[in-house]
Amino acid sequence: MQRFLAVLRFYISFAPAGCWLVTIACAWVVLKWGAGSLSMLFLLKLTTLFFVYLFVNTGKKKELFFYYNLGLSKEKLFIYAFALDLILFAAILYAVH
Amino acid sequence: MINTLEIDGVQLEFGIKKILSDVYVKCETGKVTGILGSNGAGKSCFMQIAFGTMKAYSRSVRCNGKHIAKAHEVKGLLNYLPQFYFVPATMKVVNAFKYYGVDTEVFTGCFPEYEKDMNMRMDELSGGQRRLIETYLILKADTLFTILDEPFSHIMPLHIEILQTLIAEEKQRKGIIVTDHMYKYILDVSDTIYLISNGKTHTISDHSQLGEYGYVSHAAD
Repeated sequence: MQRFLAVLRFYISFAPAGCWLVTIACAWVVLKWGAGSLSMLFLLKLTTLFFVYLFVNTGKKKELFFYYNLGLSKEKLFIYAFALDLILFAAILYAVH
Repeated sequence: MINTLEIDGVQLEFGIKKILSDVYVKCETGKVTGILGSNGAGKSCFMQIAFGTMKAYSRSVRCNGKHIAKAHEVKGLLNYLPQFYFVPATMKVVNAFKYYGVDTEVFTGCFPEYEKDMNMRMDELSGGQRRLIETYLILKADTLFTILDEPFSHIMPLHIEILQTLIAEEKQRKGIIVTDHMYKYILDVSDTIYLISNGKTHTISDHSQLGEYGYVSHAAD
């Protein structure tokens, strides 16, 4: 449970600026112009996640040790956090569509 | 049960500079293993290699004889206090304790002056307070082994004495590896001492050897 909460905390530490803004922008595009550009939006989302990874991996490098000490590797942290973000992204786009 | 952690075969180079080449450190439940070495000797690199967060050309980390690829990925095996602050700055002190499953009441029993700070964010504390809390969390968390890199830095002498007592208590249930430039504290608290010099570890059985290896002046022996 603590590890799940830790992953959630890790995700929320960068999601508002790094992920949710892009998700909201994509949702607005779907709302305005329909679902024709879904594959492009998904590609855009993946690209921004790549930059989020680079930013967090360097900018929050020291904080990662907080999670390492809970038995969470860098790979697990990013995979779980990005999976959560993509589920949220898909759910919001599906909802507005 | 006595658990054993062994680290050896570490080869680390930065460019043409060889940092670690012939290292052997053993740590076991019930014992504190102290590591000393001059600045740049490779102590912190060695600890990060043992923890699995730094790559080395070669290394071998074994727990009870079983090879461990990345110790930090094995829950409950090993935790590590780095030299820098690692608890997220915006996290409340009390929440950091919850994540690590550490009792706040026992902590405030040891350090009563911290009772009023438990609901503060980490970045609202002084450097020394933050260091003490992080050291305490790592020491008290439920793992088989603990690595402490400079746990006494920035901490007032009275609290260092309490930390020394806590280390002596915690070693009953876990193996502890510790390094610090305040070497006298390390000598006080350790059962086994290794000195890293010229990339190699040397077992120190007599404190006068520290002078022979040039770690302290002979007058300080």
